[in-house]
Amino acid sequence: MRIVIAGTGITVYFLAKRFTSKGYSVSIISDNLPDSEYYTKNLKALVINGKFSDPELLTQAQAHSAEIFIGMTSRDQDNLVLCQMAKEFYEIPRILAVVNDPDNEEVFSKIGIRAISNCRFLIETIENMSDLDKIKQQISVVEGKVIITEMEISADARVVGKSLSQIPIPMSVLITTIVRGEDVIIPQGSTVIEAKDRLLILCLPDNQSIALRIFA
Amino acid sequence: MKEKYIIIIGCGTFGSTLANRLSSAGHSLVVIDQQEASFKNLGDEYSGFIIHGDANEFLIISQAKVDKADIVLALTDDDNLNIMLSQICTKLYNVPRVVARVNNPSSSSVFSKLGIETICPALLGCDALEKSLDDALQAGAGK
Repeated sequence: MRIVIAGTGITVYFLAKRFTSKGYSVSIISDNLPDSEYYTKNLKALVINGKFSDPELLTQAQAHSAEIFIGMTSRDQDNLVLCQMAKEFYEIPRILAVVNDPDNEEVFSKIGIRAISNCRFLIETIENMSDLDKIKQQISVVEGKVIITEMEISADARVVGKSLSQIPIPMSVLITTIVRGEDVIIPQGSTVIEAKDRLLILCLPDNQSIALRIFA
Repeated sequence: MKEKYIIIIGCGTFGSTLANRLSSAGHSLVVIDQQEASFKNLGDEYSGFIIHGDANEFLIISQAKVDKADIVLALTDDDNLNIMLSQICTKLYNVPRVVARVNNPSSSSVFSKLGIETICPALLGCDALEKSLDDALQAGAGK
């Protein structure tokens, strides 16, 4: 299976290295000559050097036979056009843009290109650092509009021994699952929280701190 | 003629000349450019607004009240940026008329595949020049 990556920098190198070691065929399109030379020397990948605005590059990168295309250049306009060309001209089935401006995550998806933002991920992580000890895992879905948080209830938490209906939980925060030891419980209002319960909480990013305050 | 709200992105020679004309004709204009010096190209007859910023940043575009625009012209020297801006204006803001400048004639296939209305100054220039040289070219053929 061939993966085509458009971009430059060290992240592209590590990404390509992982994929080649997993047995994928990798093509890299880069507009930076020193980076291209470094990739050629250190990777088992097909490296194409040229301007991102040149439609021929994708053909040279064997985009016709590729199954995955990743647009991760430092310019979002190049990412969009490369991804759209990969989709419309080369009919690559799976396409992902790694956008620089976090706002473009939503913009791209409305134009029909799936996009993720490293910047948004960093912002979320940094903002939640103070709460990180309590959070076991956190997943963003729907372009970051919804967050699923996994947190463990400590023994001294206020909510221990209370049923969900006794706890003032806003409508925008949903307790979807409680993991208690080996058991997976889909909670109801009458479900009582115990210490060491692991909660899967579904909420909007803005309400995550409210959820943490209630259950921490 | 009804007055229109027109946004021009890219205030080089092309963008500024057009902005001056349309402003003189009584339309409301906003011109966006990332280089402040470019706005010097706008003459005294220009009475619209200017926004200094990189049109690549989504926030800058939304500042221009794109949702209210009758016409958006993406005239920067960056073809991929023009493609992106055209699609944002058409698909996100439902702007009724969007035209993008094609700098490199070879990228026009990408524009047309994506259904973007374009203008290519290089090709228009060639056509015009060829036509004006028509007599000379014909006469030359006899030599």
